[in-house]
Amino acid sequence: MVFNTGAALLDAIVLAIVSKEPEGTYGYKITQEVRQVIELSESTLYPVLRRLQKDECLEVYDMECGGRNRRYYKITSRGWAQLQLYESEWRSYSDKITGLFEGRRENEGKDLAVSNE
Amino acid sequence: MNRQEFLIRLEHLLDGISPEEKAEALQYYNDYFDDAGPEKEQEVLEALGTPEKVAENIKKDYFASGKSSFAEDNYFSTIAPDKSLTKYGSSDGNYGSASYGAASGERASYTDSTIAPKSDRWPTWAIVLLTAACILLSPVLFGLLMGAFGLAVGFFSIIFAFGVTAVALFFSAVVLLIVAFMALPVSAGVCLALIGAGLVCAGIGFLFLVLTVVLCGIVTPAICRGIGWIFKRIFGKKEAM
Repeated sequence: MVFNTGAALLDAIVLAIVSKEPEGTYGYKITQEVRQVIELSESTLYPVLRRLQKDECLEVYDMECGGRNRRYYKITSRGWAQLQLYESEWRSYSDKITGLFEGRRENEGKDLAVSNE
Repeated sequence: MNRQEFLIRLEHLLDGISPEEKAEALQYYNDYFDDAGPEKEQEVLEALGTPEKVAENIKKDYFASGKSSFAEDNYFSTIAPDKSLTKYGSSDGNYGSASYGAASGERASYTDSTIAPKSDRWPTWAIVLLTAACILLSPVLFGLLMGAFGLAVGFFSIIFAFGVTAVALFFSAVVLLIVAFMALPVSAGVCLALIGAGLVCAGIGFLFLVLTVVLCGIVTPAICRGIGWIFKRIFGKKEAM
């Protein structure tokens, strides 16, 4: 993985993953899905979940499953709003960078064309 | 290390945070192992890393989360679109690297955190100036050092003298008492006088003994502490510069 994932982006990723499950999902499953998207140390995920919970972007509930209680995380309405904010910020941010790379490629193309004449 | 050892170690390491937070964190990781299943226990242990790292991540976030909601502060306050990049940078620079150790590298933010200023050391010019002063003033400093040495010698000589005096007086007291005893058949009055003198000597000797002990046991450590305090004040103040 070339680019580091900042705290905000990680929040966005976790929110997006949890939001896919309307009834919520649990820590282990969230971690597995995050790791399919980015490389992440499993020890960093819990603080993110805790923080999102404290910020009221996620809510928790316990459900009995196979004789033990399992803690589920579910996105809140505030979490939805936050996620949408993150998504639009990401679009604008990544568009700019993509534009920068493509513009450079275009310029490079022009330079090569000129020098080949 | 197995799951039990991991969790026990983690519990100890989390002693600095509130009991509720600690219980939640431990519950989370306990459930995590359960959900992964016993066959994945080693895999999970490897993926989690050391309990120390896990505890560090938890504590960092715990102590950083005193700030108000991260998202609100930094997103709703973003005004112009072209400021969003710097917002990413500065906000992640402060919050991201504060919350997540850069040890594994994967969590560091896009921009580096600010370079720490050298405020806890003496500025270079001060060191140079001080060295030059020491060299130039070395004769004076030598004289002062010798003076201090002389004082110390004098001080300990006094203690020694007191001690010797005490011993001498005790010795005299003993001699007087012996002579008094020998004088008893000759004259009771002389005997009594000699006993009295012996007791006086003993008394004064005891006084000197007490003085010696006090100088050794109390005054000397107090002087040492006082000197240490003076040095701390000098160097402690400079560090605060």
